[in-house]
Amino acid sequence: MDVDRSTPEALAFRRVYQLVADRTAPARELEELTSSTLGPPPRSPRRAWPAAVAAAALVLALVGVSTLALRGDGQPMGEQAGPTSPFVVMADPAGVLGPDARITAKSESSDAFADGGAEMQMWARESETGLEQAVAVVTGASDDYLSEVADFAGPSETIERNGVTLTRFLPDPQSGSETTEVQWQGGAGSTSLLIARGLSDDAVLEIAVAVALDGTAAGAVPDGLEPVYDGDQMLAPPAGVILREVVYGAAAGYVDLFSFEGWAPDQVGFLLRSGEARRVDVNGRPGVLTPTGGSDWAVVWTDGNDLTFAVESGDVSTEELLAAARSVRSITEAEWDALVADPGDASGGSAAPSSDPID
Amino acid sequence: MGTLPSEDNGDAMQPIRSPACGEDVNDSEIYRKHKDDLVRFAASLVGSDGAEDVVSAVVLRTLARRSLSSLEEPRAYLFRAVLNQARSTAGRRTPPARVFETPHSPPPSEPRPEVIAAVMGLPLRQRAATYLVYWADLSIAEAARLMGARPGTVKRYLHLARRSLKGVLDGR
Repeated sequence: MDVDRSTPEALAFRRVYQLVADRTAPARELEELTSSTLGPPPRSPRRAWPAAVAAAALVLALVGVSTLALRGDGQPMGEQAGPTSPFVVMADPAGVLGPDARITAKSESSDAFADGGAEMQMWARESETGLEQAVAVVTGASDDYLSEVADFAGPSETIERNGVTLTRFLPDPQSGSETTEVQWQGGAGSTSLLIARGLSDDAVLEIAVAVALDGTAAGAVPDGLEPVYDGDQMLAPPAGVILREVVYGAAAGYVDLFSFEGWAPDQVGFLLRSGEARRVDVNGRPGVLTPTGGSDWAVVWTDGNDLTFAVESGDVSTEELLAAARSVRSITEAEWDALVADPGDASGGSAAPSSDPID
Repeated sequence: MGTLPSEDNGDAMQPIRSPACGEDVNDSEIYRKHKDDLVRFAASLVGSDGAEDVVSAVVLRTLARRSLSSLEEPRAYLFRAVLNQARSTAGRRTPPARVFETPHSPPPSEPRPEVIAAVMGLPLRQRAATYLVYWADLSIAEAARLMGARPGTVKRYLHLARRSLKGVLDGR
């Protein structure tokens, strides 16, 4: 079944969205708008502002690119130290999004996976166009956890190799997936998942068997693949996760900055599925730059311990996004608390606290 | 119950043309075909009051760059653009009170206010996923295509959203 629509939660979603639909005004103004846009220019000043925004977007984007190009006398912004605190903001949102950049949302929330955590290993080989070959292995995850991160959409087959029973999920052309996924049962009812792209079937199965028997893929990974994360990355530990988020919006687009405390980059598994994803350096830490759909891109990296950072964007270039990631800076906990508590920032206040970086 | 028109509505059959060659008729048709769905989708993201502004911004910004008929999949493009626009201009959370201010007590058939608040307080992409799958009855693959996300990502959004709502429905 695609999805269970009979649960209480599903029914509640239906009722709320029905309410939304019932109370949404007919789109007659839009019809007038489009008629006029496709014919004569729009007359209503209220409806004309998005056109100005659209025209300004290109200018702002160019300003942003110029600003980035000039920053640091040509030195990449990544030369500065990266954040080691979970309380982070963008150092220069106006430099990425333009002078109208502002914080449009910020939040702090906690989450926990009662079914415990898992560990991840990842290797990759890059080409000029992206991740040519890559493999990530998540071990020790519960089925519930894997149901969140795995696709399992395509056909599957069961394979016995070296005494290990493997289930291989083949690439699903209908979903556009280009990856092979292999799953097997580990100890204590846990499940392991391997996601690979660009590797031969034999190589994939050999890696899976190596992890199942030895706990590490290091000896089975083909030459040329370099470690991105090698066994020390915990995914969603049972202690829980604190998610902090600041969204910067502007006419040119938006940048979404996340800080995950107690969370490692399970997103990296998703990133592997995109051939356009590639490794990047974020202030000396390995990161991944990847498309996340539409015009959105993301950069994900960790501080090497239990902090993971992610910067997501819409409508800004990947160069700008990477510059934004490298410019992320820490603030104090007190400054963070003040930022989250201040309702003014979400409605047009300053784009970032004015304190100096603490890193 | 909302059911969005299926994708076999001719989008794929529309000719790919340059923006300069008589785009008015086709653009109007494309827009009219999808506008109600787009406005409702936007309303689920930013609330009823701001929905039209979001869609108008998207349509005008798109038309400033290219004709709708030049898009390979205009419907999916516009849905993704609405989602991006909602994130860009309104942030990820919408104050529930503004969306559902009512002069009367909700009838028994309506969701409890805390349920409404919980749904409309979800992160934007979780709302988009639940709207498309649970209200619009799209498959996960279809919702993923409209959101410009992978099916596995949509599954995760749904899981997180259900978990958030379960606590509210259970009275926790």
